[in-house]
Order: sequence, then C-alpha cells, then structure tokens
Amino acid sequence: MLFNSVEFLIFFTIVYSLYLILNFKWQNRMLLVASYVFYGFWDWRFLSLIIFSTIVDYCCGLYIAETDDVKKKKKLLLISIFMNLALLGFFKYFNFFAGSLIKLFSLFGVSLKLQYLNVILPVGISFYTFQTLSYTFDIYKGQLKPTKKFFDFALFVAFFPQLVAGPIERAKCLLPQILEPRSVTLNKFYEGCFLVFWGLFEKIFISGNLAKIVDPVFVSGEHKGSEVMVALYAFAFQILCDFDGYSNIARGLGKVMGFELMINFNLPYFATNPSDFWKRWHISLSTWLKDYLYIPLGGNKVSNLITYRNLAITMLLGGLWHGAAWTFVVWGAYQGILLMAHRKVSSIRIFDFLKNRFFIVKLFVFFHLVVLGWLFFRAQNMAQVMRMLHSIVFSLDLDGNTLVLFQRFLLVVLPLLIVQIGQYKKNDLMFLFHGHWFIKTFAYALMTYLILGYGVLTAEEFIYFQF
Amino acid sequence: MCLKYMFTNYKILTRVAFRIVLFLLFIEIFLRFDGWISLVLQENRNKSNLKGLNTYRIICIGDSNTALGGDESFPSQLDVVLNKLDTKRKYEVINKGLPAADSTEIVDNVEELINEYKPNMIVSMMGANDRNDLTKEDPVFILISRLKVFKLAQGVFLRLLYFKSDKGINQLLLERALVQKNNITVKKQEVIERKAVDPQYVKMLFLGLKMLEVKDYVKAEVIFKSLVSQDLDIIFLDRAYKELGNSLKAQGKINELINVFKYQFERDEFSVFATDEIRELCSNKKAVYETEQLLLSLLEIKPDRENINGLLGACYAEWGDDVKAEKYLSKVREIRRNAVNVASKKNYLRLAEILKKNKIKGIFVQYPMLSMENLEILFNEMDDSYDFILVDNLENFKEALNPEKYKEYFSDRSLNDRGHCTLKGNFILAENVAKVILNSFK
Repeated sequence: MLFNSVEFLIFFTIVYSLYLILNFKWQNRMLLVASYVFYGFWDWRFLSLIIFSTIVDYCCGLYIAETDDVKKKKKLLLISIFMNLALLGFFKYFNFFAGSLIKLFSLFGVSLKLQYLNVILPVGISFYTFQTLSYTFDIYKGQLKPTKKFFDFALFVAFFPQLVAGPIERAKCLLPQILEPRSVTLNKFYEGCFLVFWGLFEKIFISGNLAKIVDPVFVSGEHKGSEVMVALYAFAFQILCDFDGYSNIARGLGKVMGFELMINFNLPYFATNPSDFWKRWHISLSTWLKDYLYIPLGGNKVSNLITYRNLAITMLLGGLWHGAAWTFVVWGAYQGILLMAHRKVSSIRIFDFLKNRFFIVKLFVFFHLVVLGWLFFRAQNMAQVMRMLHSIVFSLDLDGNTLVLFQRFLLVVLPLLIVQIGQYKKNDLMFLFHGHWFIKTFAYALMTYLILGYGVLTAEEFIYFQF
Repeated sequence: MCLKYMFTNYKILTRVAFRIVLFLLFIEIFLRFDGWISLVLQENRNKSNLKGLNTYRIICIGDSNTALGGDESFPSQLDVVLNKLDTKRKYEVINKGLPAADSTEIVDNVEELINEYKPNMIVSMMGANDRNDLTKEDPVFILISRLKVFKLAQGVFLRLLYFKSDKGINQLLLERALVQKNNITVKKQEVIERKAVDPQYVKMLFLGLKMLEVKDYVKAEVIFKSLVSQDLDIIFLDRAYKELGNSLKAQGKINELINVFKYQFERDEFSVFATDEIRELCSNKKAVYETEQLLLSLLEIKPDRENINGLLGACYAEWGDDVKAEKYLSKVREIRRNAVNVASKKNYLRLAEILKKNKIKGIFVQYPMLSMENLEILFNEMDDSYDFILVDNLENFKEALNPEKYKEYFSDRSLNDRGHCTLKGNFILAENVAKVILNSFK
C-alpha cells in the first residue's frame, strides 16, 4: 500500500477513526494489526520475516538485560546481529554476492556453478532490521531497559508510518511513546496534516515530474553531456523529494496520532562539506551507522590511519545498504573519499582561512560533488557511468532542447527552493506552517492546484522502498 | 474530539470557514490564470501560422480537447497532416479552442471569428462541457457549476470513485458529461464471439445465393431455412436470415417474412434491412395487420424504442390513421427530447445556421471513443440544405480500449483542462479529420 494511493486513504481513515475511539490499550493492539495489514498488503509472506525478527530481538533483549555475564551478553548480541543480518543478507544480497563471485572466478578462467535464488526483496527489510538491531545494541550498552510487553515491542518494529522507508527510529525514542499513552492535540493534528500534505506535494508534484526528466535520459543509451547534467540535477532533487516526502508523510501520520518521529532530512543541499551533508541527509541512517558501526570500530578517537579505515568501512557498508549492486558500493566509496578528503583538508592549517567564509562558493562546489555522486547512485551499471561521464566531459553540446529541459526542471523545483530558502533563513523546518495565515492559505491552494493539475498521480513506488 | 472543540469555539469555526473559501478562491484564480496563459500562447502560435491570402483557412473551435497541447494539439497536427497529404493546396489551421468552454460559449464566438479570419472551413469538437438541464437549474447552481473549482472537485471525486480505473480525471469528467448528462443510455458494446463456421454451411450459403440468382426462390427458401435452424456464428446467422427474407419476399410469403423481421429487430435495434422492408410494405399497404402486430409486440417489450415508434407512426400515416400516427410520432419527439442534450443540440443547430449563412463548410467531429449516435441524434430533424460532415472517431481509437494501450492515446496527468489526448492520440484524431476534409473535396 503506497501513501499516495486511494487504498491508503481508505486504510488510514479507518485506522484513524478507530484510533480516536479506542482507549490506550486497544489503540496499540489495533495499530499492530493495522501495521501487519499494511505490510501484508505487499505480500503476506513477508509478515513471517518481520515476526521472526521481532521474536529474535524481543528474546535477545530480555536475556541480555537479565544476565550479568559480559561474555553471555556479547554472545546474545551476536546472535541478534547474526540473525538479522542473515535475514537481510539472504533476501537482499545473496544473488548479488553469488553473481559477483561467479564473475570473479570467471576472471581466472574458473566457471563457478552457484544457484541464483528466486526471491523478491521484502519491502523495507533494510529499515526494520536496523531498527530492531538498535534495540538490542542499546540494551547491550545499558542505555535501554527491555520491554516485557511483546505486542508493544512488535508494534515498535512494525509501526506502519515508518515501516517501509524510515525514519529508522531508535528504541529509546519510539518505544516509550508506544508504552505510554499519547495525547492528540489540535495543534499536533494541524502540524501532522501539514507534514503529510507537504510530503505528498514533494512526492507527487516535484519528484513525479522530475522523474519524467530523469528517466528518459537514463533509459536511453546515447545522450548529450548537457542533457545528462540536467538529468543529474533533476535526480538530485527527485531523490531528495521522494525520500524527504516519504519521511514527512510518515512524521505527519505519526504526529496526528500523537507520535513524534525523528527528522530525517534537514536541508541537505545547504551543506557545505561532506561531514555537514551526512548530518543533514538521511539522518536516521547516518546516526545509526555512526553509533553502531563507526564508533564501535573506534570512531575518530584512534590514530589517523584507523579513523580513515573506519570511515571507509562505514561508508562502503552504508553504500551497500542502499542496494545490492556495485554502483551503490562505488557511491559509498565516493562519499567515503569525500569525507576523508574533507577531514584531511580541514586538518591543514593553510586552509583555515576558508572556515566560515565563501558560503555560496562552498555550497556550489559541494552541491556539484554530491550531484556527481548521484550519477553512481542512479546509473544502471558502471558502463553507463563511464559513458555519461565521457559525454559530460567531451560532448557537452548545449542546445535549445536542453534549455527547455532545464527550464522545466527549474519550474518544478522552484516551489521547493523558495520553501527551503525560507526554512534555512528562519532556521525552522516548519517555517511555512508557522507563517502568516494568508500566505499559508495561498501555499496550500497552490500546492493543491499543482498536485491535482500537474502531479504525477500514477502509483509509482517511492525510490527508497527498494533499499 | 476536534469537532467538539470546533463547535464550542464559534470563532475558530468562522475562521476555518473563511480560510476554506479563500483557499478555493485561490485555486479558482490559479485555474483561470492557467487557462489565460495557454490562450495567450495559442494566439501567438496562430499568428506565427498565418501564411497568407492564397491558403485554405480552417478554424478549429472547441474546448480543451482542441485548445491544449501546443504543437502537439490536434489543430497543430491537422495543419501538418493536411499540408503533407495534399500538396496542391496550402492549408492553414487556426486553433481557437477555449479551455473548459461549453458549446454556448464556443458558438457565441464563431461569428466574430468568421469576420476576423474569413475561414473556408470550421472544424468543431464540442459539447463535453454542456449541462443538459440548464433551463431547470436555479441560477445559484449554474453559477457554482461554472466555477472551475467545482469541476476540479467533481473530477477528484470521480477519480476517487473509479480509483481502479486507468482513466485520467479529465477523461472521466468527459465521459460523465457526455453519457450521463445527455441522459443517453449508451448500449454496452456487445461482445460478439465469433465461432468458426463449418465449411459445409458456407457451401450451403453460396448454393442458396446461387438459387436466388437463378430465381429459384423455393429452393433458396429451403436452403436458408435449414441454415437458420443450425447453431451458427451470429454474423453468419444474420446473413442467412437476410437472404431468407429476400427469398420469402420474392415469393410474396409476407407472414413468414414478418417473422424474419422480428428476429432481425431483436438482434439489432436499428436493423436497416427490416426497417427498409417494413417501410416498403407499409407504403404498399401490404400485410397491414401483421406489420402492426409485429411493431406493437416489439414496443411491448421496450416501449422507448425510438425507431420502432417512428416506424409505426409512419406506417399509420401511410395507412391513413392520422390519430394513431400522431400518437407514435409525438412519442418519438418526446424520446428524442429526453435523449438529446438540449444545450448541445441548440448550439450545434446555431452553428450549422451560422455556417450556412456565411457559406462555410462545417466539419463536426465526435470526441474519440464516444459513439457517433450521440452526435447524430442532434441533427435528426435537419434537412439537406446544411453543408456539414460528421466525423466518427470510434474505430480509430479502438486500440485505446485496452488499458495497456490507453496511455499511449490519452495522457493521464490530466485535470483542470489539460488535454487528454497525447501526441499520438491527437495525431490520430488529426489524421482522421484530414482524411474526411480531403474526401469532401472530391
């Protein structure tokens, strides 16, 4: 069930009506059932995976807290990690690794016979395995007490607004909200509605229309460099609006029910360097990787060389998390290299004068570096990456058609840019919501008009569902 | 909870109401601004298209289906297709479509257009935005229904209602406007399953035809009678019945012939063969009682059949029973009144009148995928002195009935008067109209 579908509208209307009627205890049970229905809508067989993951982490969490034996604690944590990663590895990465191994061996003239698996990727598996993992991790570190209430824990794993594409919530934040009664206030309701609406606008109008610019370029084989450039700019905003839109809808849905979900995107294209970027882009994933991978590896409290190694591992795995393909690994590596280079440059004294200056220049340069990264991310294979890079460098050929394409891109992105500049200047992501009522009404009307008149209403999946 | 809170706070309620009105007003402004922009662009294109005095000038009038699409619009493509197909003459097509206009608005502008552009031909495709019962509505409702926001809401509602359908909002609006408001119960296209015909029966048919040719009607009758008693493919069966009718007619076996008519009218409401034959029988005053009984029995099953009522009325007139003739003919007029969109009919007639007065040829195009009957019915009472041609677009859009192919012909993003034909759909439309135009010169 997609957020931008009529099925979901019906589903949520029923769920929300029940939610307002029921008392706290039944609210949680109803939400759990609703979440399973929501997830089972894709394929009911996926439910077994999520329930399996829930049981494993529920038990591990309880046992880890019970025992004082450090070795036993570690063993239990490893069981949880192994089980979750095995699930993820099997369903998401098996074919990728098998394929890569076959290719590797064939390089040495050995033909390896490995069976490919005929499995489909269960939606959102990367999200909820990470979410449950954070639970056992936190209990292991003593930062969280496990819950004995199984159904509430199950709801934490399967909470439908953020189940399939994040934000990846921490048990520390979400679990207490499930365990304690929540209050729905009129203000929260308004805020939630605004977030849902803004998210739908981002998805249906901006991302949908940008996809129309991007897709033809990446599907076709031959293209001019200038067209590739426009497509890359468009993709940068398409993926932002797709993902940020989904996160906003998730947060909004949570909010109208009294839940506070974390902010997942904080104006990432206003970042002026890679480390800033990762504090703004997919925050729930980057902080997850930082807390449960980078810091346990030693973080930056170790020698320079090991810090670089940690960065590399984190970013490579982060890349791979996004998808089982080498293009994602290369994208992760590219981001890792940017981070390392930034670390190196900012440790050199001569460049100190750059600090807190040339904001626009830095923004411009870094934005283009990010955009270049999206080429790896979007391309179907490395050959296409090379072809496109070649065309950008050697045959840019700017002509009328490309200008029209660029114009269209600007028109679509313009509303987003205006809002984001406002958000940045006022340092308030809800700046539009907090604005004057007249402007707000105008904005609502304009967005409604653009969604209905120019939105891409076909049931297209959110890009991040495949991760 | 929210509702209770709102009702106890009158101030909040008025504020919310005010904002909703403002919200709708803004959307209305956006929609109208959008329409205005597209008109300005269209006018620019028209000016750049004006080629000179020695050209054959065609003006396309209509609603958004005509107006929108820029170079991909149907008039723009008509220009290209005509000039390509006929190199002897130079054509110039001017797009004067008005987004969201009903036929009244469209026809109101025609004389002005004729004076300004002096066209040789006018191509119209209109009626989708007409309301049938304009006269009965109270003025407030008419005002509301003219608001674009209202149409938008209607469209959204329809889209939600048919959320499984692949059709765009505009397509749904259009279908509703033409089918529901016209009050015409469009027959569901009967799916005729064709069976393979046994070669033995084909041989028999040919033998029967040969018998007719050599005027051995008795043998022909035997052959066709044995054919119609078989379990045959329906189209084949129709043919056998028709030939049976011919052999019976030739022998003057009128009572049996009337049974054949009965079969034919049951199969096909508008059977041409049966209609023509009965007319002939009536004017010859043959088998008066049997014919009357047949037509009455058909009306018993379905009293609202326009053609049968008309036929019966005409027959009574031939038989000299003017009272009964008037009874059935007035019934026909009543059926037509109910079936026809009053506004569309009025405006089509007005348009035809204007064209006749100015000696301009008219091409009246039916919307893609809609039945021709809906258009033909508007001209039922007109004589031949009017110079116009109707263009059917059912056959050439047949492929679009397939949901897979649908998107090739119709754009799905549509709402607020975006054109619903894609480049391909408009091209097919343009090609069809071009062929009709060129044929009309022959």
